[in-house]
Amino acid sequence: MTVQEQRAELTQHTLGNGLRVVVASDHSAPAVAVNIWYNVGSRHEEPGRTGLAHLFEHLMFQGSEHVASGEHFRLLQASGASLNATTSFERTNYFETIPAGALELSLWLEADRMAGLLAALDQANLDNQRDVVKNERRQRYDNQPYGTAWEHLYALTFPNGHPYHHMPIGSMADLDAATLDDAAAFFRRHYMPANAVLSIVGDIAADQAVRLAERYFARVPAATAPAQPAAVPLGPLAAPARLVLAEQVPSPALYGIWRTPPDGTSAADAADVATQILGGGSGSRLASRLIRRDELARGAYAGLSRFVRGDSTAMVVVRARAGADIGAVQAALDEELARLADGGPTDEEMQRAIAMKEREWLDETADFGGQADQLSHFASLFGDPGLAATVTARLREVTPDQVREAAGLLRPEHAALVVYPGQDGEAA
Amino acid sequence: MSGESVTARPAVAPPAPWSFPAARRWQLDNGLSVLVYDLPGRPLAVVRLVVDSPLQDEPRDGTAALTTSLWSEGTLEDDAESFARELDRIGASYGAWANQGALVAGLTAPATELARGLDLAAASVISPAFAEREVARLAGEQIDAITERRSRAEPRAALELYSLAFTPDSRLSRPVEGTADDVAALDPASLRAFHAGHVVPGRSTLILAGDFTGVDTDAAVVSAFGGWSGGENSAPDQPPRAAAPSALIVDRPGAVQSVLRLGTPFAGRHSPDWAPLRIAAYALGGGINSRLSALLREEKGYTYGIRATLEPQHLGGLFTVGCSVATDVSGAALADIARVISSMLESGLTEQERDEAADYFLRVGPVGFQTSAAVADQAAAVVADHLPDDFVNQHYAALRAVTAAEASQALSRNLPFDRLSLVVVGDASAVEADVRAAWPGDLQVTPA
Repeated sequence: MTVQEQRAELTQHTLGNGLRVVVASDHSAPAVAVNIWYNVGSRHEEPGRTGLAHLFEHLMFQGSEHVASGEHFRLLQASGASLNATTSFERTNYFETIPAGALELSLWLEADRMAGLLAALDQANLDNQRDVVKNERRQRYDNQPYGTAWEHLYALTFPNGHPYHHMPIGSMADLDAATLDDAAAFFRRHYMPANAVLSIVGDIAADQAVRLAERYFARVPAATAPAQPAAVPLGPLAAPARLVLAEQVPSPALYGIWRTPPDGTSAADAADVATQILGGGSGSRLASRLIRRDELARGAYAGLSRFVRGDSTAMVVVRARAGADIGAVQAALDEELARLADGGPTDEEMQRAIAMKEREWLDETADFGGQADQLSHFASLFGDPGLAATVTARLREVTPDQVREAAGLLRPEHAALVVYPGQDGEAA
Repeated sequence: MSGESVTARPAVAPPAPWSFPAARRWQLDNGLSVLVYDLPGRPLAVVRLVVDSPLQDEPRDGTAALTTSLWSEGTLEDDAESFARELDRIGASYGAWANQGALVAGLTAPATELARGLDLAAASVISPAFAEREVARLAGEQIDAITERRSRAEPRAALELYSLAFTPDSRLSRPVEGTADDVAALDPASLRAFHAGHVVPGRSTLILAGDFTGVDTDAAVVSAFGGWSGGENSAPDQPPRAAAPSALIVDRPGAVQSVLRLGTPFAGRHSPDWAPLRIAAYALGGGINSRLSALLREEKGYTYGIRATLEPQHLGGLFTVGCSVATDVSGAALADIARVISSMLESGLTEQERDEAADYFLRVGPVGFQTSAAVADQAAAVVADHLPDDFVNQHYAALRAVTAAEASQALSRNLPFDRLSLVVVGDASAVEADVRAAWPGDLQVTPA
């Protein structure tokens, strides 16, 4: 079975102002996905201004030169759109899927905020969205059991000052400190056509899509995109890091991160397969050992977050059974990590892992929005949207030896762990 | 077009006609109904097996949920370990759950692996092992999950609101999974008996969605499910009953936010009010520019998001308004919510609100139903609630005809202000006085 074939031929075009446009025509539904990646994320934030990239993303919905506050959502939703935006460590994406007849409206809205966001940026919008984002932080992190586990872990895994040391949500103090000048400077530094990729996927002829992109985006002023520093991976942690959080949680848990090679390397693909074998499916090693055999946990997950400009992060979450001894859970986890590093995977595990990764890819690209996001991803971070068509092929090339080697990076001695012993657990 | 300024807002072309895809319906000799949605260009197959089984027919709360959770924990052919590996081998994900109207099993796999996926799913419902060890393990995991759900603010608020809004004898007032005590009392014999009495082909519908070009779906279905047998029986099926409205604070000392959740029972998808109510709920709290969000998020910054949601359940449902707000504005936010709802009930929807809501629902179809999963899930909901196969398209026709006045009247009928119950999950020491001021009347406080 091969599932990686690109479903549509790609058309690429670069506007005079540097905006890269990628189009894939697909007439299987009367809808079009529009997806813009700006090559800016929390990694580009200055000290004392964590959270600014994400706060800025919110401001992009508060109006622009020819668009009133609230109109972006109102006009698109009344056209039948599904839309949103997200901010991660390395990029910010803005996206909507609309019925085909609303494509021009969507492009006009995106172009207007790329060209004229500053015309609408004001203190009232900033103060309002700052409050919204602080409530987002409370709702998703501070008011949730285990909610700050990843924030602690990224701080443990990457040294202070490292671009991945802090999460995109940022700190309350830094959100409070953000000024209108900060937001305007952030826009001028990062939001120019040459720092963006526009992907259009769906029920539109490729040449027509390119014409429309030209029509609406050509007026956006050109500016030089900031240089993106080369990846400087740190390699695995020299010594394990472990933080015990004596918080009240419903059951004990372990969260872990391991530094692994940057995306775009065969070593990253190998680490992907290794985490899949460890904790990616219901038949994974961690599920088998921790959930079914030892009955120490009711959830055991491993996966890979790929980063381009530095180390990727392999991640493990073990949600232990209530009353489980977290020391025993960690011992079992450590044993499984060492066993994969020592013995490598079986051929059958390799086959299962690839089948699961292929299904995962089908899930991620099941709709036009997912396909457009992948095109933007590869165009933005690697300069070639065509790489989206090679994702599963590259995983299939991974050998058992490479997986064993990748698993060597996931040994217990390289782990950053956040441990929730639960109420009756060990003391910090 | 080309003569106009590129800074002028372009018009939106009217959408091409679109309708929810039609299924091919057929039936096996054993009574199993089959709905096939062939979706060209959708290489992922999504399968839903819907077993008609109202939750109120459980011998004990939590029986259906635990029974279905065991479907993926081993069959007479494969133990739990081997079953999990077989799923992974074809890249499938599989799970099963209970809701108020039905037991549902869900499989996702590449369409090319449909036959093997159906074999595994069929084995899980025809010959589940209910091995003693796995039943005990899953019961333990379920109890942990119940504890966790109660310790999280948002799910806790949802649970408590159902409990306030419906009479205790309505199954909908109690959690699908039962309580920890319920689950602790279940054993393999009780699950086997429940399974044998309820999971039969004559009460089941198998839904397949995906690109089945070159896949003989009928042969795969017959091969997997043809040997399934079991008698027909019927179960009591009564709509839930509304309780008198009340208000509750669930105390979480130190919480940085309060979850505010208000609601009242509404008539559900069978009612002629369903289409006008969706329009009204959208105008009240469906998007960022809805009345609730415009005030509480976009003007006041009290919340990351507030929504008015119709939660259709089996033969009824709950109309809810919910959000999370910073602890120190809990009372102010609640007062604003009350004011927005009252004012909307008083003034009704504007023509523009009606149009924007109707346009959204009538145009979002091809966007929202792009995937096999979206189509299969919608079909499963229709089957579980005993609605006609073309319900979605009938609903579109109904939406098209709804006027602003009709939407306003449906709102008044289904969301009477004095019938609203309220749950606040937050730090009682910090919010109780403000909540009482914003929400006069009886108010209970309970520890989390």
